[in-house]
Amino acid sequence: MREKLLEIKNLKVVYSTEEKVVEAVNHIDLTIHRGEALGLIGETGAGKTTTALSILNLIPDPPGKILEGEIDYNGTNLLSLNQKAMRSVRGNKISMIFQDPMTALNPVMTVGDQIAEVIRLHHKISRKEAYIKAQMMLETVGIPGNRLKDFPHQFSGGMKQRVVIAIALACNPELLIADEPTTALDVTIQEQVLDLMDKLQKEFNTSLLLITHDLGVVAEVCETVAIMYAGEIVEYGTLEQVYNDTKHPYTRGLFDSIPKFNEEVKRLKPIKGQMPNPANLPVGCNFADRCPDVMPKCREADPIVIDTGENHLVKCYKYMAGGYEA
Amino acid sequence: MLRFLFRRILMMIPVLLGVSLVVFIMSYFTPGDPAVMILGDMATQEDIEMMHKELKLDEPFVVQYVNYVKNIVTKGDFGTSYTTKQPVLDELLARFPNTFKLAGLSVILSVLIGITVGIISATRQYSILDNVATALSFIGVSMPNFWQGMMLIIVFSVWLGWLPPSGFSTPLHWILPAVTIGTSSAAQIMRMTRSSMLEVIRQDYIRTARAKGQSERVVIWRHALKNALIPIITVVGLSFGRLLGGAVLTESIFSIAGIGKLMVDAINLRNYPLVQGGVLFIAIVMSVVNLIVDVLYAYVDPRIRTQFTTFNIRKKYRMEGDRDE
Amino acid sequence: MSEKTIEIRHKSSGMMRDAFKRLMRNKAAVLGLVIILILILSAIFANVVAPFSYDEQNLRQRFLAPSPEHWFGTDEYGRDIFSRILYGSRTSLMVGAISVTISSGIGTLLGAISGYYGNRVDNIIMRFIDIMLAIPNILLAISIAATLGPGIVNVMIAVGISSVPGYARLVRASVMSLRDQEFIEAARSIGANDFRIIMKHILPNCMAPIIVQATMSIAIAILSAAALSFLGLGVQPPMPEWGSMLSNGRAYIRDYWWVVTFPGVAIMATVFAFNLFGDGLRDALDPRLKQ
Repeated sequence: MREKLLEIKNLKVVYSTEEKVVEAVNHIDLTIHRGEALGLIGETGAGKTTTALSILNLIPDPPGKILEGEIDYNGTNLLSLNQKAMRSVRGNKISMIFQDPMTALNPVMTVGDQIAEVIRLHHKISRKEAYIKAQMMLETVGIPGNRLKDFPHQFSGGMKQRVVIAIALACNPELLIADEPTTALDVTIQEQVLDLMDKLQKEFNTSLLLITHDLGVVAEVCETVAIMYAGEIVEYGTLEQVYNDTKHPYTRGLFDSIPKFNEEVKRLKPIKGQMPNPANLPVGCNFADRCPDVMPKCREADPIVIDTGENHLVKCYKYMAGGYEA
Repeated sequence: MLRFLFRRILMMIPVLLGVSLVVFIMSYFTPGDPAVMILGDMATQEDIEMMHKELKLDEPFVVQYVNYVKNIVTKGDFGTSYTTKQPVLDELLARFPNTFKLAGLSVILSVLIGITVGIISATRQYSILDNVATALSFIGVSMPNFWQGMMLIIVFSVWLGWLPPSGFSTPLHWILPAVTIGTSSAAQIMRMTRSSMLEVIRQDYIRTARAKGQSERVVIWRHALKNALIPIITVVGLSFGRLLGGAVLTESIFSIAGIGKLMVDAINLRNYPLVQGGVLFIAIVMSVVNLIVDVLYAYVDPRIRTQFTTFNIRKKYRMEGDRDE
Repeated sequence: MSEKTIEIRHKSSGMMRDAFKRLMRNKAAVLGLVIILILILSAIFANVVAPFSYDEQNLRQRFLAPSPEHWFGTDEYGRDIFSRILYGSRTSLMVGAISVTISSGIGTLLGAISGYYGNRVDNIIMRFIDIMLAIPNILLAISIAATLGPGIVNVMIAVGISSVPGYARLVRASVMSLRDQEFIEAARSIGANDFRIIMKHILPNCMAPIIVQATMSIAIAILSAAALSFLGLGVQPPMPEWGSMLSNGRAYIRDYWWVVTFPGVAIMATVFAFNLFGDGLRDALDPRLKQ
């Protein structure tokens, strides 16, 4: 087994406003190993981005608040670090790529300034050297170095995302969090950006937390997969285990709702119903109302996480008998 | 950029012509005979008719207007003051430095206070400090500035004796008038800064800057402020107009020999050429200020800068419009 | 068709109710509204509430300091300042309301025509607006008032005209954003003429910003009117008006602070109330703007 890089333990995050408290992330555990590419899959609103922002301690507060849990990174709990120590982690050891490249870059600064900024923050080098490094990064992501002095509005969406990737990788981080990095891009560009991330991740030996709702993207890039539903991780395992030996009814529903090329399917089967309102979660299993295999006890108490063998984890009563408590 | 400046200056011409026409129409229809104003009530009918000839008041309206504009453009002649018999332009230029100094001081004061307080308010939204600043800003825009000037005189000159109540000779004399005129602008700039910053700090690129490990101070003052500046600059430009307008009353409160006091006195004495010239003069100053504001936009926002340097902007826009449809 | 109309009406009344709820939750706006209501009541019942008449001179009681009898003291003619302020609220509120009616009427009309027809009409109107904007608001009002001569009606006209550009621009922008929407095209396709489209379909949809602007510009109108009166271009004596009270009291500020203090406080409180209420109204009508 590879060395653990980041371990999220029992994380709980809520957003509270005057009227209601939204439980965005509910006691999740997740481990990322060195060099591993982990895919975190879920619908919009499942708590994926909140999980990612918690790692960098960037949850907007108010209204957000990390209530419980630890995020261990190389043996230190990131949540216990003070602001200054946390800043030396951000962009340096752990960096993040955001969903929408159109808005992720500062419109009034040149891309060179924006790449050099992160380099100068974490490395004691001169301005000039930082710009040389920035130019190298730009070329690494496939943009001509002479565009260093251009502004974001002079780039296309795909190129902007490349710039964002350049910023994220400029300090050679140990962990890269990519939050739906291709969702806002054209399909053709998506492929290029994914290939680039895949290549750079292997080249720099960076661990990757890839957040997406796209099962195909994960299959392409990741080795391990976590499925998130209503603030909880309902299934976790290797790509093999989750894709070929799907356990959780929600995961199965996800696979049934996408078209397959090798099978003739008359009609796609969407998962019926909607995700429960995170401000008003049901008693018992959050998926019970939509689950085709629902049992009475599903509505009584929350199922625990079961290891069905070889660290293939499922949060479902159906596998109580076969597995053991993880 | 030069092309843009040139075009922008060309655009000022019709506006200023329009202002001159409006001003001319207003004085043309003002009751009272200018000849009587100049000569006084004792003038004989003959003298008055002579004066009509001299001032070309017998000519039709259009001819009079054309002459008025022609004199301004060719000779810089805005007419002659009824009371002092001096050229209006000379009188205006003699008083302009004081007004300019007063307006300039107030702009600096209100920008410094308005932007600083606005940013602090935005970063601590709904804190006590934010609430107090917002309440004060509402009071700031609600005071008539001539009254504020009188209250400041009562408190700081009459009661405390700290500052002189009138005149504009030393920096001590500048404080009360500058505060008087600057208060409402400071309040407006503060409110605009606050709302503009609140808008900007929720943007994704601010999160990007934080995710880089940048300190909060740099995130706010470098990344956010520069993006928030466009609407702030607009308000500063607009408030310059308010400052000049405010100067009209404030100068007479503090007995400052500026354009404002000159015009108030001219209104009271029905000295219309001076009023006319003053309005036109201020309109010219305003146009220059607006030009500076436009140039500042380009300086602050590279997207606007690109538009200026791009050869055929209109054409480009039209093409984009077509594509949308 | 009729079913749809009913549905829309229903929806819009629901929106108004929501906006009203939001407004009532905003303490500052409620404070503004309360002050405005008090002002209106005191203007209506000035003759009942005021302890003295506004023009009764008593030269033996000149410049009395504030006391239980004369709450705000007396002026240079021995008149009770508190009573004069109460009567003065009639003038100020009337000037504010009427000049805003003038400016919003003309401005809305110009803005709607400009925004709806576009092209050449738009160009001409907007150049005209540019000309008006080149002169600072208060200076424009002063110039117009100087041309028309002193008097309360002329003050209303001067103040009203000087704030036309703000409305014209605002309405033009809203109309332009609505002009090409489908429900306008639908109205056109069933043969509605331009006048009907503007009055029935476009203007009702840009009422919210117009109402907000009107509330805010009552505040500005009251300030401008006070300034004009201060310059002697406004309301003529003996009619009490806050700006001319300041103007008269100005000569005595060295010795009798109360003569100018209270009329100014009255102006400030009124303007403050309209600003607070207008601001709350904007937040309530357009919740997207509020953070």
